[in-house]
Amino acid sequence: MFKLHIWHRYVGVLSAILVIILSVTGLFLNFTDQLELDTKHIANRWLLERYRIGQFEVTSFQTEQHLVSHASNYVFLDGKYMLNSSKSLVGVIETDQHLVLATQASILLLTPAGDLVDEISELTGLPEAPLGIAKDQQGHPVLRGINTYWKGSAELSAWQPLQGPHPKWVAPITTPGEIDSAVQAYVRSHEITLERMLLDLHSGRLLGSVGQNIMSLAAILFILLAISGTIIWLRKSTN
Amino acid sequence: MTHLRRYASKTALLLTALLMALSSSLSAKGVYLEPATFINNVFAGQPPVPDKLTLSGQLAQDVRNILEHRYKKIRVTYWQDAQRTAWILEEIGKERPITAGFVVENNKIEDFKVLIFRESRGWEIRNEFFTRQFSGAFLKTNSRLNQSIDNITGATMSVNAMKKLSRMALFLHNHVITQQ
Repeated sequence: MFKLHIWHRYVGVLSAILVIILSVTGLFLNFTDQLELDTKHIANRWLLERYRIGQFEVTSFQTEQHLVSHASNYVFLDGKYMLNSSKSLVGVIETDQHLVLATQASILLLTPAGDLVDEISELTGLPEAPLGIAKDQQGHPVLRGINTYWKGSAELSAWQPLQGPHPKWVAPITTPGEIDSAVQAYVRSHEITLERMLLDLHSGRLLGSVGQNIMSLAAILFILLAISGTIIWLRKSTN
Repeated sequence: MTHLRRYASKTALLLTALLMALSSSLSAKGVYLEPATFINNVFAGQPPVPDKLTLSGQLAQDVRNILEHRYKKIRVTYWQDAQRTAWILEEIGKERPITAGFVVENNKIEDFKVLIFRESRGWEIRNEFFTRQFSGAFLKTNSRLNQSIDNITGATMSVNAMKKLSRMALFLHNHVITQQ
């Protein structure tokens, strides 16, 4: 009986810190909506390193007046966040009225200020997924498909196979240092929500498999504590 | 012993229910129905050529009044066959857009489906018990739905987003039909 008491006491002390972590994170997670934990993001370098979030690949295209960049799920106009796009950019051109972004699945038509006019996919009139984009001699957008080049109307509502000389396809450029830094900073600070971090702290995943094993061990210890506590109490009440 | 067996079977049932709930919530995010499939189904495999509606002037303001913010796009695509239109619209529930498809005929919602859900919570709006509430709904003169839509606990923002989109689809349908 004495040994069980000692064991119970030491395991209790050992578990205390884990109980506090689990309780505090659990309390916060219970109020996720009220505390808006799922809309707040972490920017701490050490924490982001736990998620292996380092440098993102930034793809940039230069138009007459703007630099359009893409990294992770975000598109940037001159280094400032513009919109979300999970698909990578394959090219960007500027027409008289619009900024035209070609992604791997659709065309994003924007005003010069960066407001989204329309997203044109194969469902809504695009002849095929773009592999590249260019302007013809009249300044009309031209898409590169697998076997066909397509010339679009000014509003990109109609497409027809391109006749005549092949245009020069837009190619990505090396992202200038200051734009790259701005994009990296934005993406890094918008990847992990506070809710995700707390969930991972709660489960131990924040420290990888070691953390997960610690929390699993803690769970087993809690069960043993409950059992040993009950046995000690029963023995005492019987005596 | 009989008690023990009864408790064990109850515990097993509870655990199974928990696991089922967990697995369904884990698979909640994603594409439920490809927009192209939705449109194909609506028009029995022969969808009409899509039309575009530009949200400008009073129309943009009316849509803004419904959504309580500007719609994410200036141009909206729709498909029309006589008095029947189909719309694929997007609205943010909490922080990510939810894509929904609406079919409107004779100014009433004929069908509504959640096509793509990107939020971490509120996926229950995809279920038929929720979507069928919109069937037959139409706009009253104040641009409100004629029938009440029951909320889902824990999915309030997604429910509100879908209510707004249904009003927008009905409003745009009415606009398109009256302009012709």
